Amino acid sequence: MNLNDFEGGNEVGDFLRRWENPTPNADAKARLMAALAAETNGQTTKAQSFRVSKGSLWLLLTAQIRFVHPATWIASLLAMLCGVLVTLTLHDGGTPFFVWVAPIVTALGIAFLYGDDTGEVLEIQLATPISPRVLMLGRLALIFAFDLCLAVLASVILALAQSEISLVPLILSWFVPMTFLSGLAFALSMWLFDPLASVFVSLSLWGLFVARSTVASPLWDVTGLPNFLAVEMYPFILALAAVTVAAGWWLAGREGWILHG
Amino acid sequence: MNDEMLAFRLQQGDKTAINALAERHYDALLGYLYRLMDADRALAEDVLQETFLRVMRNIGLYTYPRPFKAWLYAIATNLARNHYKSGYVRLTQSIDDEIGGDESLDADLLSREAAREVREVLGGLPPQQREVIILAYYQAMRSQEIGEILDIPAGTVRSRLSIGIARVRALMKEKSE
Repeated sequence: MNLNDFEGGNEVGDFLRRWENPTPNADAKARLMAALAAETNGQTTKAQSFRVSKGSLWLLLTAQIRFVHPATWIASLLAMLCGVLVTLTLHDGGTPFFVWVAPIVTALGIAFLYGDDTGEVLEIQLATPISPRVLMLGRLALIFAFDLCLAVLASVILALAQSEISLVPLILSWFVPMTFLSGLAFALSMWLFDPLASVFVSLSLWGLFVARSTVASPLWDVTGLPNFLAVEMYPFILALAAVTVAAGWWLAGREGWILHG
Repeated sequence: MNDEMLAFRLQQGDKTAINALAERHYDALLGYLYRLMDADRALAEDVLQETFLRVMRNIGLYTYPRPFKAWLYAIATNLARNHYKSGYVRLTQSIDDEIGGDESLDADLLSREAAREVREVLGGLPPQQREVIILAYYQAMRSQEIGEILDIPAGTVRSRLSIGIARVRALMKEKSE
């Protein structure tokens, strides 16, 4: 709060400013520390029960926001925006370009949530009784929810701007692979704890999916590789997504001993 | 490590966490209590010490991850209010003792005089308005945070602040006449 918010605040602020802060007294501070030391020596070392406030899960979730690098939010926003702009500019029927962008943007964001550079923060968080699984899933949910909202908004814009694009099929076409790639990035991060490795695998797999869906080649007949982005494959892909998230969930429970072992 | 994490660690038995919290908040809390206790430095230091001791003894009441600072200042404010209500005898401690330096320096004298004026003006406010002004201006806190400390709605904070500032302005005008 700033007194300048109020009319005539500058005048009052200038007046109040004349009363400066007292200079801390080193002796008084030392007495405080001594009193605290005496108090701690007198206390038992029994840990107090962990109190969870009402709505604490929501608070914990929002507390995870600070551990997500701001670049992650900005990069997602810019990438989705580019996807929309390219689609609006170059779409001439067929699969909108945005469908190729949205899933991988989310997967990359999730891949970079976990890694050596977040290790110190993670170690602190793992020192709390809050399950590491909850913490990890919380971060996953944050990024996924953010990108999901962006992608839905982008889809609405595209459906309104391009009459040949229908909203629900558009959403389904990116939502299904988005869930799978996000789950995969999550599981890989919990396993490898290396965002670049997770990115590499996710990008490679996505590249393969897109190529299979868009490029005609005898290679597909030879290998028997199905088109994972076909509508009939959606239930299978969603099931795979559930499996990858479950795998990541299980792996996250091991994170504690990975770091401390 | 943020305050909430330190408080949580203290709750879990990490005794060193209270030292880190005390180091972090000592200066600002002293400034707050010093102004609240009408420039009674000794009393402000006593209340400050009692505040941290209360934090330690009642850490089980802290609910992670609620803002620790608001909880800390709430304890300090309540302890300070106990002194108002008990009608403690104000020391006639001169503010000259607080703003140090050589008495012969004119700048220092002006500084002390200016501080005395501010102290008298703030002393002319009801405690409710004084608390809000000190927290808002000197501690740079927002309405919501002040509301959590004083256990009042943010709207009431803004209302008290507005009335308090008007009163300060009126008292400033009286002094200048």
